[in-house]
Amino acid sequence: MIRSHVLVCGGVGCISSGCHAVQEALASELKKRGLDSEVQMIETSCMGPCDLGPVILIHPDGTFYQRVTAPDVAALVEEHFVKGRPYKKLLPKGKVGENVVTTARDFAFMAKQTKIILDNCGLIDAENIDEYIARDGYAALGKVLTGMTPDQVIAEIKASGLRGRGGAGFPTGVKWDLMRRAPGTPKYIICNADEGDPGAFMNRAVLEGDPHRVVEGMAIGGYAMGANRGFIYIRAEYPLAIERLKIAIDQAYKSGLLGNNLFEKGFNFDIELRIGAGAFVCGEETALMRSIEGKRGQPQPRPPFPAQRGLWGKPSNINNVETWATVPVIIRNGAGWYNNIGTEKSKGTKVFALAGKIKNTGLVEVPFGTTLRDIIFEIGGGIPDGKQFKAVQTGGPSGGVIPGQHLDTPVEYEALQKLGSIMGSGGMVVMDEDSCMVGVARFFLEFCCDESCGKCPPCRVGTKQMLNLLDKICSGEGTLTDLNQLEQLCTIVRDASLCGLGQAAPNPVLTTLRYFRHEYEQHVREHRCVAGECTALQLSPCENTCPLHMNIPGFLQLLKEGRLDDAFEQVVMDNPLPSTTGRVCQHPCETRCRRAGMDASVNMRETHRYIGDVAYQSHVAKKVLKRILKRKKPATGKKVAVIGAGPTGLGAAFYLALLGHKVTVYESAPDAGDMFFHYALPQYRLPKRVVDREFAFIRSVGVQFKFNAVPGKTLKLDKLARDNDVVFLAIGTWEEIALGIPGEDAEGLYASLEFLTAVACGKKLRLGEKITVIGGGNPAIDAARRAMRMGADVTIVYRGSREDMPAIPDETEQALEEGAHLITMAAPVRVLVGKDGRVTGLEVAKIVPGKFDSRGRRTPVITKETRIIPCGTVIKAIGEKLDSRITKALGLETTQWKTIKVDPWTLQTSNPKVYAGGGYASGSANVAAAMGSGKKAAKMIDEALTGLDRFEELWPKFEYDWTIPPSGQGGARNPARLLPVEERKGTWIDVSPTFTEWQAKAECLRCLRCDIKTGTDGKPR
Amino acid sequence: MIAPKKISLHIDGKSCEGDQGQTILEIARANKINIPTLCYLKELTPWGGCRMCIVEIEGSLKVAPSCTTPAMDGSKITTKSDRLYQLRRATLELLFSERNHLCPMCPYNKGDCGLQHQAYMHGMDSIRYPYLYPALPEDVTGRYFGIDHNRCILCARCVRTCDEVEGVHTLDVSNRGIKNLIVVDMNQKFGESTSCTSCGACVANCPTGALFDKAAAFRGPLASCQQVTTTCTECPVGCGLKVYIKENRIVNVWGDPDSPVNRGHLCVKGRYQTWAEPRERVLTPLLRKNGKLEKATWDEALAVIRKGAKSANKTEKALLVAPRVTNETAKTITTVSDKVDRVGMFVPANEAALCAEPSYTADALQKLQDADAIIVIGAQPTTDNGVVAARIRTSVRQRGAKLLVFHTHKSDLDRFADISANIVSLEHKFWDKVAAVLKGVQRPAVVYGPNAMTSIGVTVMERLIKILEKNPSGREPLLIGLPISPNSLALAGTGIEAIEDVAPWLDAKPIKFLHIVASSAPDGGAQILQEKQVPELLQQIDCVVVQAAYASRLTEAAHVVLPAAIWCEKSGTITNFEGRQLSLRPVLPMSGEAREDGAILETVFA
Repeated sequence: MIRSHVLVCGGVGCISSGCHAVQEALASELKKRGLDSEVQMIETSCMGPCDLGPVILIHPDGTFYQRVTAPDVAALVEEHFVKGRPYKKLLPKGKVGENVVTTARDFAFMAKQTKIILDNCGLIDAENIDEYIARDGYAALGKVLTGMTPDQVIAEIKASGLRGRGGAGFPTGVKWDLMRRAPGTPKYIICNADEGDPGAFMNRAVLEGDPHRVVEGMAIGGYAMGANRGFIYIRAEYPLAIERLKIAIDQAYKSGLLGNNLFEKGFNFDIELRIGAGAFVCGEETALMRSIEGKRGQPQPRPPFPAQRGLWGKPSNINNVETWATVPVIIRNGAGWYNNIGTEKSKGTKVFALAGKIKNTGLVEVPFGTTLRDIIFEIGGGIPDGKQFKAVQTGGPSGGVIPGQHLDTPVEYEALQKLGSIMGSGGMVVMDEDSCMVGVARFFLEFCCDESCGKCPPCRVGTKQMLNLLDKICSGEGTLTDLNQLEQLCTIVRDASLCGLGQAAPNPVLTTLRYFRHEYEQHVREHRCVAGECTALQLSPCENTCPLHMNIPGFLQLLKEGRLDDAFEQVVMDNPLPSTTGRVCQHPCETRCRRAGMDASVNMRETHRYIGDVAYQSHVAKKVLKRILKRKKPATGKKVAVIGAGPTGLGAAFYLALLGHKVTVYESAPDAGDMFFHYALPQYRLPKRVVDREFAFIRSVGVQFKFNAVPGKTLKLDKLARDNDVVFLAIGTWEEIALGIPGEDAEGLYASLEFLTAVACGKKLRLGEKITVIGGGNPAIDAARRAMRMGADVTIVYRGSREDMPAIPDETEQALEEGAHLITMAAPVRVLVGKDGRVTGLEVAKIVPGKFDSRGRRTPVITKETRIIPCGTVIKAIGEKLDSRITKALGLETTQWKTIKVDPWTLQTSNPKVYAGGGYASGSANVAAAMGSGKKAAKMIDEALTGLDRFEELWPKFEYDWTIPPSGQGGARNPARLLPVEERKGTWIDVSPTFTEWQAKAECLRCLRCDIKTGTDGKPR
Repeated sequence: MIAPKKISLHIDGKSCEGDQGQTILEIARANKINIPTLCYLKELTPWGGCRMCIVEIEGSLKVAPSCTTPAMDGSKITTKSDRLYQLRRATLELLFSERNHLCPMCPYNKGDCGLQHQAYMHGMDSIRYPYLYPALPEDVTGRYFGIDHNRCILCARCVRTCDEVEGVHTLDVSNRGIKNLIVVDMNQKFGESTSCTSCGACVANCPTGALFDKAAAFRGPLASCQQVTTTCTECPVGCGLKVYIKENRIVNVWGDPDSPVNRGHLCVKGRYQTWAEPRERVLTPLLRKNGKLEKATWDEALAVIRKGAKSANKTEKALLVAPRVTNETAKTITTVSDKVDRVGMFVPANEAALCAEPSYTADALQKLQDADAIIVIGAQPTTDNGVVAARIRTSVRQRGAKLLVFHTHKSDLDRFADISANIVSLEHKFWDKVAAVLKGVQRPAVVYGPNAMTSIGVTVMERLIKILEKNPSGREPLLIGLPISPNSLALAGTGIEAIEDVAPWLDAKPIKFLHIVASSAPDGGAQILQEKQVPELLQQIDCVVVQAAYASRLTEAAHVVLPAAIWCEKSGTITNFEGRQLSLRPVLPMSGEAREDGAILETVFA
């Protein structure tokens, strides 16, 4: 007796991940244990979650195993069949917050789907007609032939609301009716199985998994429309689907379900296969028919429509695989049943192929009206590697790109059209933050350009001209005129092209222009590709990701060659605060380091800090200063006032001074210090002497500092604007955002900056023994670590999960090591206040993850479940905002987020004399981004003042070795050095010593030199 | 036929009438509304590819190509609007940016270049898009024409012409998108093509200088030429020619679209061989002096002829004519026939039997197009009557007619045939196969040539007719006699004897004076020398006069050579195989001292 069925997925995805080896292992293991008479193994077709393959589904319990390999089989059989418990290692991960699920029903990927078309896929043996018949197969054909007139069949299809699944969504019943009424004989019906969209494989799955369904649908259609001959046009790239279709057709003939006199009702129906040669355009119905006729597959204008003059000039009807596959179900269950599924205008379900940057790559079937968000995040599992969602491309190359803000759009024909995309055949390509949208448009356009049949000039030449423009933009040679021309061409190609291919080819460009225009402009104006995909626009991935665009491979190579002075000159020119940023930078450079693909990314931050520290400790810094001063431009006579000596201000002042302008930096902090560097950042991270050295260096290039200059008080902004040629506002964000909860004004509640500066200045604060810090960013961690050094017992409360915390992960780790407690997924709801008006505790509520936001993060949902954290002091570090008095004083326009309105490309404010950068212009940013903004401002201000582009002239040109190093040298990554936790806890100075020379050189060796780009011959370009 | 339903619609506000099924473009043109086109040609299947003829239809957001869109009753069409202008102009600019269309450098400036014309019409003075200009190859290996892909706009007019008019499908488009290239056969060169018939129709229909006639290159625009229509005398089909001349030279020869016979189509003979082949003309009378032919005046030549004629009796004189002279010349021949012992015309083997009972089939070419089965027996239309072959091929390929070929030599028709067989070796069971193919045929046509007149040929014909008669639905087959010689049937009709073997005819009675009218035969009449005894027999004749347009071995063998007019200098009429009287018009004045055949005969036998 069979007690259990093991369904092994035999879809193409699982075949390529090795399901056949699993089957063999399973068969021999079951036999070895004498279970082969009780457990039956069946190879099914695709179950959907291709990325998790090979997958196994065990009935009757419904246990689902993923990524099964042959070596796993013995343990799996032992656990599942002998011991009778699920084999945990291979169970899929379920929803967030729950660990594992055992059955397919609980597995979000499966649970959220409604399978009508894919009903039998992954369940039955596709090569056995009996299994199809056992699932009510051919019952619909019997019903139609024995009890329905053709008109009744058409009426039923019309009533069901079924729309063509090929992409355009024309009502199927109406199409059938037109065909039935068309004069002329014979009539032909065609199944379009020329699925050519990149990333789409719905039709293949149906044909491989349930081919009889299509055969049955076509026979019903033939009867309804008066056709006795049907063709299935399938692409040659689907050998398995062709094989299974052949078997299915053969079986149907043998069973009397195809051929003459079906069900003895005098209806004859034949099906022939036609294998396409893989031209995308042959999916267009008129081109498809030419191809069946044996001619060159080129489209013809419609009208005449196929129903009037189709295959060999006779009335013909073409429907997509999915449409045909739906027909038997509608007939079997009735139009009313089908009509209830989906939305008002889009009925039933649709199969989508999920591909791209998504966890669960594979096939899913959902009712129309399901939102994109549900498909991508609930079913698809979201974006892998913690990256942010950016956009989803629907409808294949002729579809469009839909950005995050439209994720709640229900998937239906009209809704997608409104967004500039189309349903298409159902491909969904998900893109994350690393996808360059210009590159995406270019990719899809290149596909259309390659696949254009060439019949009409707008498509043939127009797409090529568009592609050339995109190539130009992607290589940094594009201009704004090119962008205009690209838009014009979109319209021309769309409106003037003959067939759907050309008419829809501009869609990816149009939608990316619509939603991501700034990315195009960035390519054109700044020659930058933030996503890092356009290699021509970057020196290397690390350089591209660094907000300061430091030549990282360059200084690593210079140091490797033992040229410390040159390396320091390169570093300090790229980044005038190397020792500082070397300690506190978030090092985004490491996120895209290619070395990470081998072992771990190069420790660029520590190496660059090493160069800075060693140079300052030796004569090198002075030597380099002399070299830099030699390149200093002659005085221009222009005066620039920089307000704020933080990272943005210093970044701008250094370059402006070197460019020959008279630069004065005004800082509100007293006595040769900067609020940020000297007070906000703790000494144990950034010792004061380090900052002082760097300030001195900047001063040496000619920057003047004025301290105690508080805007509105000791500094008159309007006068400043009169006296200078340009005023650059580089003031950070200092006003702490309010928590907005009861008890916020209690004594003992501090803003993080208030706390940090007070501690740094040596001000006495009355602190409790227990301190609670609210927030997950660097200021929160800094506050916590400082508070611990003052002897407090610290608890950090953060609303997200640990992975979501924006602070540098190492810093968080160190804080926890030093003894801080961390409560995640908690929101403060009330500050408890004692009778004396002082803080006595903080009440926090538990947070559960809610829906996904436009970047793919779950929005927090605050529950009623609360707890109280007793404490004497609360430090809030949830972010800062701008001081609105300054904008008012200068009469500057602000944005809706209360930041200064600046031209994103020039950083100029509404007052042409005033520029703004850093947090003040863009909202809160990190140190490197703030400095990058200052550097950019310097370039823009100099261009405005002199009318010349001479920024690059400040840099030395170093010759260094330009050969690709042997792969993998340098050994393992050298982590930043750190004092042991016991030593660290008590200390107030530099908890992390500089790299040793040996460590720094090793990191230089580890660099793969992505800046060397090779041509096709493998030689450096 | 039911008369098509009349429909009315508004085009650019003008109320227009047309037939149901007509396209918007057809109705617009009939109503004198101009819509620009590039890939459209009246005689070809509309293609809808060039996107120039787009129009706006009220109620539709998309533009529609007027050449393929059927006109709907009551619709409102706009052919001129800013949007259409912008789209058309952008399309033109894209075409100009795609390949090299620099007119001053075009090797074949027809002057009526469709692309250039449209650019003028759209006021195009600059191109917004960068030039792509890939370096594409040229193919000049063809005998008469070449293709320069750099000039091609891929309108596929040549492809459709080759497919739908000549019916050989030598040309097609290869590759996808921007890599599209017109391709010959399986990517061969014109010179290597086995299917190309060199009919040149593709060149005539090319809107740009991509396909060009080598002989016409750099001869300037055809629009600046004088046009004269005349009739081709190279075979019995009698195609209408449109000859372009400039400064007394032929620039090009195209088919006359108004000719009821060929409706604009030509074969290689009419299109090229008569003018694009270098041939040595006889331009003055020549006299044999001291064994060598020397230039002489007409008077000197006539004096020699008269002397020769006088020294012979009437019974010792003979007149041999080529079967290509005009009906008027034929009349002259009958008037002078009493002055000679015998008059004969030399025809190819077995053609005498066709001439014995001259029969014409009215509208044969039209009817061939309607036939649902075509049987070719003993004829080689591909080489002898190219336009007939084209009609047969198109009937087979476009309309699915059956084709059976019985012949003694292989021909290109074989590859289109349901059955092709050697006429001398037909087995018995073979006829079952033939009967199977012909089953149910309703409008059969039998094209028979001279070689059908052999005894075995006649047996085959009878057999076929019997099979066709057995077809219950069958009509009597349409019989189309197709000689090889241009005007042999008409000449035979005037009583001139057709001679297949010249030697016995010459040898029948001793001859002292022989006048041969070779006329404008391309071989100068040398065909008769192929018979072994003929050169010897000619040597025995005292005076051999040859009137020929072209120098040949025959003129070399003559005592007196008289310069005859060629096809483009002749006037008069010929009768084609359909029985049509077709006019010849002198396109050029006589070259040198040439005279028309009839005039020469009248002078000689005056």
